[in-house]
Amino acid sequence: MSAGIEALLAHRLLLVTGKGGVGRSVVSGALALAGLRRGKRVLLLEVEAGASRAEALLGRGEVGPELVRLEDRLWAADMDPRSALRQYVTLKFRFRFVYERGFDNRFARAFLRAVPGMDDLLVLGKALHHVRERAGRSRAPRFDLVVLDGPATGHGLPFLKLPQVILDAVKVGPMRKEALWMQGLLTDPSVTNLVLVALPEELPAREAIELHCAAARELKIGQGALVINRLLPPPFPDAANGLFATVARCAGRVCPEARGLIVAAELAREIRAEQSRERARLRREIRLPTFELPELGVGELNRPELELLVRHLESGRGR
Amino acid sequence: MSGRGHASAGFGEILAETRILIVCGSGGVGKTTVAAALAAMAAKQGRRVLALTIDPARRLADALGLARSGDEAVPVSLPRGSRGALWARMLDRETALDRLIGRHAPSPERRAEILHNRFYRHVSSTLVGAHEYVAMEELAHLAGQDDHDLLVLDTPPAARALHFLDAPRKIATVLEDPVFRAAVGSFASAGRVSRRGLGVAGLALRAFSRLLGSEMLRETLEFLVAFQEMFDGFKTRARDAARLLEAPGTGFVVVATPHRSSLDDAARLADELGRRDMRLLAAIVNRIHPDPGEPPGDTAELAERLMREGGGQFRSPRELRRLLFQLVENHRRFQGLARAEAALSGQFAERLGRPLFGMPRRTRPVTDVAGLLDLATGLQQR
Repeated sequence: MSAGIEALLAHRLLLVTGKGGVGRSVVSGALALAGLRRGKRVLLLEVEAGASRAEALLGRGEVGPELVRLEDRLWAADMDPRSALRQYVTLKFRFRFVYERGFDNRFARAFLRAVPGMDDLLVLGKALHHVRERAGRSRAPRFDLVVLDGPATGHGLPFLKLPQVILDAVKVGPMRKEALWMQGLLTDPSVTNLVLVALPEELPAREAIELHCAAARELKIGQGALVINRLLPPPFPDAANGLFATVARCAGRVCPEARGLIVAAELAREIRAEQSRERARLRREIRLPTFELPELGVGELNRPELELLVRHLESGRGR
Repeated sequence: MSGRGHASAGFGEILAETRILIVCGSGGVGKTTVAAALAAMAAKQGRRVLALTIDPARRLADALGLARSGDEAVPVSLPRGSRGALWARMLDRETALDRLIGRHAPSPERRAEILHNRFYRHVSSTLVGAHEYVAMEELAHLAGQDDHDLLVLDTPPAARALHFLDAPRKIATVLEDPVFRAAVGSFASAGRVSRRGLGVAGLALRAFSRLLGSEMLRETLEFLVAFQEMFDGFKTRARDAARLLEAPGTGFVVVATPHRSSLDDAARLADELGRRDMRLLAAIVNRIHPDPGEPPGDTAELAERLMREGGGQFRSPRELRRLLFQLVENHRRFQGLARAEAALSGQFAERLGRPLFGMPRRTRPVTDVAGLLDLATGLQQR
């Protein structure tokens, strides 16, 4: 086990960000399992609007808006604003009827929809609440590691910026108090780290770099790691380049049935060339501990495949 | 795989009756690129097309000749022999909402009041559904004009891909709610939050005042009061936009990548469209890998043959065998990938009951209109 992943897992909150389709959920799942393997009490949080990915990835039962204990030390939830509000109000005012009378009516719902940013704030607030939640006689943190599989970029930055926005806009009152502690947790680099997930392809790499810069500029949240996902292995070592060229030249005449071999190898080399170029660009522009994960096919990954990715994270030195 | 090898004319026919094409799908599937490619194809085939896009990647913006700032429709030059015309326009998210306020505000004073409302300034970038709403409104606005015979919109990168469909109706529902209007109205006339006589809304206001604090509740209500005068304008436009989505000339294309999670998202999206009586024309699976077929079975024999008939170009049979072995491994990887993709796409097509087109994976970025047209030509029905 290396310092790379240990340094990352020393944080209590990991915010996994990246554009849609880059593998945020898979990386979040792998980080959660890595924490689990170290004996941590782990909470994996998603914002998937009822289509939890963690269910299939972890293979341990259904995940909904309420926290569910999937294993002895593993909890998960797929958060939604309405149940987050109910949980928050019940927690805040101690009485369930406050929620039922005050918030569970048509007007409140319409009003909530009209208050900009409220949905996101509730979800972020719930996540952060669990980060500072304490339990038991020792009042120790309830979770050692909270992994938040955040919304796709575009949505991700405004989402994480909300407490700051409120602090700028609201000078007194309970909202400001809430935003203060939230911002405190988010911007404490010993508690919270951002994990950027990227694909080694032209557009996704550009977008990851833009996200990295925008996050550095606009958020005061520490960035802990870059994960480059779905790297394809080279079809053969570079040393065999000359030999391959000769085979490719002769194949048509000597063994036409091997044409598919050549076509597939050339496709692999083309993809590989793009990936190497974009991987180099990502590493050049994003100076963070970097982990690399292999391509594992197109089906939904299952628990054993996720475990395999955990081992990749662990064997990476973060550079 | 049946029906393979149809040229892109197939897609041109699909678009023939369509006046508004909305390209949707979850984030990162290449929606914007697909939308631009379809727009270019339709223009080449003779239609007057406007491609509306939101925050395109730099490279694609360049390909369409769009500057990063500015919000004008710019003409895009097509290759010679094209019969139609293409314009592209980027909806700038920063200014779109301001413009919307400008359009609906009853007076310059009201307009200034809203634009300078501290609350609005700080939160306009995070307004729930606002960008989706702006895109829909803009679409309705453009559809009312007769400058183009096809509008292509790629939908905003929403966290939940369906937000944009609900945006018009959602705003209308909120703004029309009588209790909501009464509460905001009483605030407007009294200048403070009065809970009396509001029944359930009074309870809710008290709850919100505890939750948000009176300052923030006041700011929010002030913001809504300023908005109230524009309610009717908003409402009408929101209704128009919602109707437009269900109009017979409006069609949707769903884009996905050949991954299980992406196809699941796309299938959910298609279901939602069906439930709302919106017309799904076709689905496009982007970034598929070609199937290299069966690899040769006997690499040892292959190596021998190459040694024998290769004209003395191969010196080490061991190295040759090792390379061939690696090539077969690689071949199998791509075969596996292509077959898994085909199987997933097949299940998806069956569930969809609509034509499914595949778009091959590219390893080089699209940099110009010719590249976009190449992409559209590469569309194959599966």
